[in-house]
Amino acid sequence: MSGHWLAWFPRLALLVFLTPILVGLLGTWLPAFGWFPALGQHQFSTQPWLDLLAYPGFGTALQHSLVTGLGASILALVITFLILAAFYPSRAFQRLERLLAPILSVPHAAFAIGVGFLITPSGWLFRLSESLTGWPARPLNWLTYQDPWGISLMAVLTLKETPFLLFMALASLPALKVRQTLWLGTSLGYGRTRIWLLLIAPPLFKRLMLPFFAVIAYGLSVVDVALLAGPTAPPTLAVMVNRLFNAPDLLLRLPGAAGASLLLLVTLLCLALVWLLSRLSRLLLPWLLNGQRWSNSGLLRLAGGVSLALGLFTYLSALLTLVLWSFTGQWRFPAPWPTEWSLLAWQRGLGRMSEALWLTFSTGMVSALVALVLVLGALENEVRLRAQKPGFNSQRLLWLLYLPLLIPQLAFLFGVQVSLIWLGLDGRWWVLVWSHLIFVLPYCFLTLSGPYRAFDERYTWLGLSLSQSPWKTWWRVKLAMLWRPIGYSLATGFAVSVAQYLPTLFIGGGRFATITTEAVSLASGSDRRITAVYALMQQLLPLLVFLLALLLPAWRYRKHQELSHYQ
Amino acid sequence: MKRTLLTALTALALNPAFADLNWPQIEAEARGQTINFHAWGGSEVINDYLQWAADEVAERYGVSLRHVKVTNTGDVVSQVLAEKTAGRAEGGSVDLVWINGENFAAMKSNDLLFGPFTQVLPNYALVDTENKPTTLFDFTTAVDNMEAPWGMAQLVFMYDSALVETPPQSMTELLNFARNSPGAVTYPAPPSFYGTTFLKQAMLELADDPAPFYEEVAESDFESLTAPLWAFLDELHPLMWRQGRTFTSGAPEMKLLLNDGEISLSLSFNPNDASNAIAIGELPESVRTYVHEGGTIGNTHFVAIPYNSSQTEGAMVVANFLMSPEAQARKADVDVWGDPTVLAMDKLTQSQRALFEALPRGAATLSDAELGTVLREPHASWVAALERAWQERYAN
Repeated sequence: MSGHWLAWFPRLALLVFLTPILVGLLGTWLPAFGWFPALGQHQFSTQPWLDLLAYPGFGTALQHSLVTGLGASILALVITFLILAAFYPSRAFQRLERLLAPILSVPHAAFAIGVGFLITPSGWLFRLSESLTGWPARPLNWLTYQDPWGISLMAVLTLKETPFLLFMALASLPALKVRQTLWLGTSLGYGRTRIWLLLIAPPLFKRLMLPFFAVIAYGLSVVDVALLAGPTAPPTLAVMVNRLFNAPDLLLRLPGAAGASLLLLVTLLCLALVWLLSRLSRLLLPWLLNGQRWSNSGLLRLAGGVSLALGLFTYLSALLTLVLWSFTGQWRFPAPWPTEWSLLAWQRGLGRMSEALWLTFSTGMVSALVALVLVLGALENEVRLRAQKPGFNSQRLLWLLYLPLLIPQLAFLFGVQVSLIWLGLDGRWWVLVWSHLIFVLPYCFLTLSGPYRAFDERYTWLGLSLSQSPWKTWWRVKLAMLWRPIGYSLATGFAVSVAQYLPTLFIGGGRFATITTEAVSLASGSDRRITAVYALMQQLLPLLVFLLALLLPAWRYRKHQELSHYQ
Repeated sequence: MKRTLLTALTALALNPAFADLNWPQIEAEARGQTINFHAWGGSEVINDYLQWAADEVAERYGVSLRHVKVTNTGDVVSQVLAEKTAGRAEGGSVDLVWINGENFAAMKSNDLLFGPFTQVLPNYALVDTENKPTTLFDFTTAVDNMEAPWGMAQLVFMYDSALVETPPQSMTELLNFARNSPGAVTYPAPPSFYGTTFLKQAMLELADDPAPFYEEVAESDFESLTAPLWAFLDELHPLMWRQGRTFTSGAPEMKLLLNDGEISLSLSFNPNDASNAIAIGELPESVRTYVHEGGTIGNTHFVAIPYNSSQTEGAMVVANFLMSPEAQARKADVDVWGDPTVLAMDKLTQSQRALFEALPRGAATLSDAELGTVLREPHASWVAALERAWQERYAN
């Protein structure tokens, strides 16, 4: 049965997306072991690794990466569980769910810029404090941002990753029948905390494992956010590697390649460790099953509420600071608002960004649509296989699909760049789309697979028995009931494409200017006003697509309220 | 004179591409070419200026100029290097790059550049190579006509006159200044070239004899030659912004901090930077420029053509246009960009000179006399050595 046409979807997806990564990894490993013909390096050696280890600040940089990357991921996971345990399911949560889309579409770099302006000693909070209380008269010499311990970087990453984990959890929760479990637990006298800890958290974590791994990999290897919010002397390992890749001394690219490979190694080790720990946590079960009820859930609600309030406050104020700056003429400490307003930044920005906007939009849309088709095909193939072999485990093969999210971009992009040039494929638009697809596809899969797998196939059987056409049934019954998650998946894919910075840079050789590359380039300058305009536009694009994803199904289901309940 | 001519002739003879080409032919070949000009894109005034230049060369020479906005010239070197790795000897993605210093030295020594070519450009004859030696020696690396001078740079400092009465006139005074107002001083972390320049400036100022810094760095006396610098920094850091435990990424970020009132002194490589920043509202009117008594480091920034560009004619036409009196005068206007010219006023015609004489003087611009002595950049090898030693001490 492997000849069935649907079977080609997962294969195609894997082939198309794994090839560049494997080639890219190889192209990075060769220089890491001393082979770099363009620089006259033809001898294999471990010298690049020794150079990396001896590079000043290497040890601290690695430590920074581990502390901030792992720390932020674990914090984000804990906060996600806290918020869910405290409030899910509830009316308030449905409102929060709607807020998640715009929050997810906030680009990391824009968020870091916004948070920075909020909490630095000359930032908005202190400006407001000064105008209310007269203190501080001059900006304090406090380390509230870019501190050498990585606290601010960890905070920014935590705030950025929590909504993603929440979003992924919400996709899995309906299948876990939380309401019923809570009802059952409560009737036995157990408190919310206890029920969540024992009955809901373990299966939920199992479903969240992949997104959590992606969060860890991202946290360990992120460059743009670490540049804005991280320690500076030395920076994190990812920033250090990126710097080695761009150093004027071209030979530093060899230890750079070794550093990129090390980043991959460290990431894999961390993931293995987390996996091992999650296995070991089962040993705790006897200790947990001691009959205690913990019926008081006040503390849980408090912790969940505080995290939620703090997160929402930061997102809203970060957004507000960007809006304020984009309309600013001049705004100095300690004025609570801009002292001069101006439309100049918007006029300059909008006048110049149409080309970049169009490129961002078309690349995002095309890559999200292609990803969606491939994901739908692969998922439908799963349904077919499960019907044939009831014990079929779909997870194993699809782990490969998530590889791009688990491998630091820095570890293979350099190799990809060289191979593309070698094949004469660099600088072509479809190659750019392809490179985005590598990252868009897993996210589309992450967002759609839950609801798609949870679909009750009895509807399909019913449809088949009525129409006799698999196509019609799939299109008019299954898809029709899944419009909402499909729209969400498309919007997520689009947002992921918009946010791509390094791939756009590496693939295009600078010939592709998207809103994101323009925004990052402007962020290296000294004009907060124009940076704010680009950061806002970068945010607006995915937001519009998310809105469409919300409104279109609502319109589609206006006469079929029952269908819209199906998530 | 004879020697220059000889060098130029040798260069021409060595480069068969030019053997049968004259300037009108190059201009004719250039028509219709699209030039990807990779240049830092972090400044809207510079982006605006390049947009103007693009409109001009399109109209005058039929060359279409695309500004590829980069964050870091190292990215561009990486791109060309990746192309060389992959064996792409023509049709490279970079046709022109804004460059100087170590990046130029790296590209030159790794054969990543096209040229020599500037001797063919008509406007190159107007460049002030006699009084601006940095147009011939880029961080002591011989330019050898491999990059076209574009603008002059000199390390200057800025202060907010509303907060500071008299700014420090030397590194020693800077230390005193920091003692009196802790937290008000900082500098960018090397390897940002702003930070490295600050180190070089301090090193030159604090040394008894700067002569050894113009020779290639030697391991034997590096420690003893740089000892005064480290002693100075050891004292300065605890008095700095954030106690020297975190640093800025470059002059643009310091400009933001100056505007925010977090620090009271900043630095720049463009003597007109403060005036321009005031004009566009990035800094308050009270900001002024100053230099240290003993002079400050100056250099030149250039444009170069990568070895694998297939649009060299168009790239040369653009480089020539960027050196033209008209383009240089517009660039020097503080309301536009304020980047000082590389041209010699006495080589210009009356009307060309008038373009420069008509320029308004910015509020925070120093006269040539006030700018004082221009110190030459130390030998290029000091850059890497200083950066590494700094990182070992303060970023380990």
